[in-house]
Amino acid sequence: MRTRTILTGLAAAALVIGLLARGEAPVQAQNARAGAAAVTFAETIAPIVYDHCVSCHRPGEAAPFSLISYDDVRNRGQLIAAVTARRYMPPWQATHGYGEFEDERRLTDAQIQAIAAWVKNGMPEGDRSKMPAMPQFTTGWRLGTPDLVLEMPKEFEVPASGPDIFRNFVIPSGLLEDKWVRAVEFRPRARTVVHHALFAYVRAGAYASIEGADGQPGFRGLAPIGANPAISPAGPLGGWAVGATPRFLPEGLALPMSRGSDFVIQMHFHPTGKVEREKSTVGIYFADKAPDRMLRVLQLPGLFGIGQGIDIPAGEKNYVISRSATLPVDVKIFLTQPHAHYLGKEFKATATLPDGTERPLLWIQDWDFNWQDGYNYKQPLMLPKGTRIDVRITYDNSASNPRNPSNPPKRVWWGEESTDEMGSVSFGLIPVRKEDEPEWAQFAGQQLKGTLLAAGQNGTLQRLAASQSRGLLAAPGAGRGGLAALLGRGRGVAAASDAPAAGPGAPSEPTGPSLPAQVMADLFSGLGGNAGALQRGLDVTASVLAANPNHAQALAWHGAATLYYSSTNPDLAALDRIGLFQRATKEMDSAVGIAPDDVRVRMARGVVLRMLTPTMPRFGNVPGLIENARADHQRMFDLQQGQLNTLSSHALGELLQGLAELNSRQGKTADAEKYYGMIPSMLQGTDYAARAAEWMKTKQPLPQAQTNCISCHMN
Amino acid sequence: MRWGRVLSATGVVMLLAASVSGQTRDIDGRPLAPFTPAGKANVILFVQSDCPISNSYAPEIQRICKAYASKGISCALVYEDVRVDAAGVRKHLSEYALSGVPATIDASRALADRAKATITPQAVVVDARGAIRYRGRIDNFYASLGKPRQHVTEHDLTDALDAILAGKPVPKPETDAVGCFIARQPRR
Repeated sequence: MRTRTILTGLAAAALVIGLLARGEAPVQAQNARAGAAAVTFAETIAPIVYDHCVSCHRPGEAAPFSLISYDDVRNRGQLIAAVTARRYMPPWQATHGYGEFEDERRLTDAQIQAIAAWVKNGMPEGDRSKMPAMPQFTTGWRLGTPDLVLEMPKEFEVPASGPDIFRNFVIPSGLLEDKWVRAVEFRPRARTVVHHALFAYVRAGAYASIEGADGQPGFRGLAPIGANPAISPAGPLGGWAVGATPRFLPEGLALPMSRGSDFVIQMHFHPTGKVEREKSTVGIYFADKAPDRMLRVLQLPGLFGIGQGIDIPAGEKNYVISRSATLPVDVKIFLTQPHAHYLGKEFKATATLPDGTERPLLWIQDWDFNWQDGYNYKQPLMLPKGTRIDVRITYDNSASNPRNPSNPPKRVWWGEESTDEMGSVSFGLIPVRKEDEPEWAQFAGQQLKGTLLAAGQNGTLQRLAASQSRGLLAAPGAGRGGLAALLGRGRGVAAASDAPAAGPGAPSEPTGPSLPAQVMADLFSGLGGNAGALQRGLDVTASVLAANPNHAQALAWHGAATLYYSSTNPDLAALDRIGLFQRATKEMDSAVGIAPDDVRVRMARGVVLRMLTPTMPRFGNVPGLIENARADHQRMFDLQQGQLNTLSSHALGELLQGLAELNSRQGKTADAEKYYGMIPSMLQGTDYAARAAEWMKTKQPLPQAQTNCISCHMN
Repeated sequence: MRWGRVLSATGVVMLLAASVSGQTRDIDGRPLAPFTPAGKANVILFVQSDCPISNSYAPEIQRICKAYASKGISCALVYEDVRVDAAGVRKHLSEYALSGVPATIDASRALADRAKATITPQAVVVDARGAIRYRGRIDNFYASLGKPRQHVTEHDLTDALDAILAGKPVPKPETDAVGCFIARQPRR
């Protein structure tokens, strides 16, 4: 999900708004009413222009002309009067007063009237000695020297004319360790042509197969980057729009960025009438340490509205989607970010507190895709548990909407192309109390699951899988798919297109792409005793298998979760327990048969069998299960042998300890000693080292570890 | 401005003194008479080198002028910048790949006044008899300032040219141009 708002503040200084609020505005209003004899550039117009226009309208900036001198402003006077009267400039979409935002780029009615009066009156300069000082602008990085500077490796040529271009560029980060990002500052070179940019990090090489495939740097499309679970580790890192002021995240928050990852910039270009060449630079600012709290995102509707069944008839002027959610815990909201494509018209988000009080969150009445802003609340909003948030988004798919990307209008579904639609309002927040984090995580997991189930039920996922859509829901590279590929082709769809198109979007492995991190987290948490997470893990893997019965990871983890459930649920009848046990082991064995070299498949069976066999009743072939668990650990070890030092200490510790322990339980003391023996040097000072030393004393199986991999995944 | 009002009031558009005859020179010093076309019509395109909307039309201007040249219709670019010299215009022409069209600088606004042009980009079409047959936008790409369309649905300038070539009345002789205002000298 996109949280880029947090990093994009907006132009125009809050200080200035404060200044105007202290009495200048009424004076201007009087001037305007009094026939504007007193409205001069020096005393009235220059302060407005300096405060609200010149951050962009100055040499070297994105705006097409400068407004730094009296002559500049006089020569554009009529235009300035016209665009301010329409409130097209300064650009600011949120309705004034519906939510209080930082850096509101908005003129007061009195200021607009003063400009009109000044133009009407011949634009007098007035007394130059009363001119305010020109604001000083930083020429270099606005947030100071970045910790990491990345530049596009090649320049991208934007043609002179044609439709808007959405293009993604990949820059290897070269990071040697995991980092926490406090801010990203963006510096485009061809400033007039770049309208907005989004940032993300993705697993190194995730886009290698499509990058540059059409002969130009990068790859096309506006699918949300960093939101694709199939390229994890991945995540959003903010964004930039014309006029935005870079900002650090509030309250010491930071976003993760993995070592060795690729940095991705998604840019929106407007052709300007001449060929432009863009080669952007970004500056990244890291936190010294992991932040105490993670920024959470509530998106309504979730996953950009994929579960809403968006299906807008051609010509429909007022198509509405809406979604509500009730907060499970007290939260603090820092920012909001709306998103839709060209047909989006109105966004309204409102909070209703448990006592019935309404709080305005965001209202955009004439959505303009070209101004992709995020909105930071002036004061973070404290909303108590039980608050209901309602989001309503409308679309205009009629021919009278000049922004309609299709002429004549056509039926529009949910999708990632500019001719498709999506829609959501995201909120960046934290639970007020840290101890509420698990409850929030569970709520977020339920939201995600509900969205995915709805998207599967309403046919959106099947349609996307069939259309080979790329991005959030599909494969960024051969052999790896997103959620759509994960859920496979619907049977009806597969029958309709019995020769699936080959191409970058087509999964080349029958076993399917990796399970998303969120699903893995639920599965681990479920094996640790979290019944809700276990149920979610079972549901998601079951829905994956319904579409693709050969999805090896889903099969293995569905089996593992089923085995755990059958072994730990005291209410099960004995026969049911045996039936589930047999089905579960069969599923895991089949998965290993399908994908013997998939670490996550081996992990599912190895972990659950290692955990459950010591207490397992005797109706199964327990020694055979222990041998399976040992073989799985051995295979994971062999597969990762060359890169053991890249594993986290937790992953490495579990692998070595599990392998050693299983050998010991089988009486293979020499093998056990070999793996226990690797622990002290590789995992110095950890509990794993302590346990290895403990084992060395007797060389007999130790009791089950208290700190096994499951307990680490329990939040 | 006063001349403009007088002219529009009387309807007499041609046959006036040299200062308002529309005779001028292009940036290379060659004589240019945009209001007296040698062929079937002349398209006077009022532009500004620092107006983004005007600039975004450069490829379309080039396309139209090229397409109609063989049909006996000429074009002239009239720069309405506040300050620009011949070198600046040449640089602009080259950057925006405009070629084969004469360009002139209307520093006094005489041409804009005579054509009653107020916006850039704006097209004014003069036929072989010297009558103004069309004044307005090139097409409806901009629904309004800051609101570009995804698809152009009305091609007003070429519709006018096609009508003139076919000897028919121009369907919409006057449309509202969207773009930057042409700055006149401020009244003191």
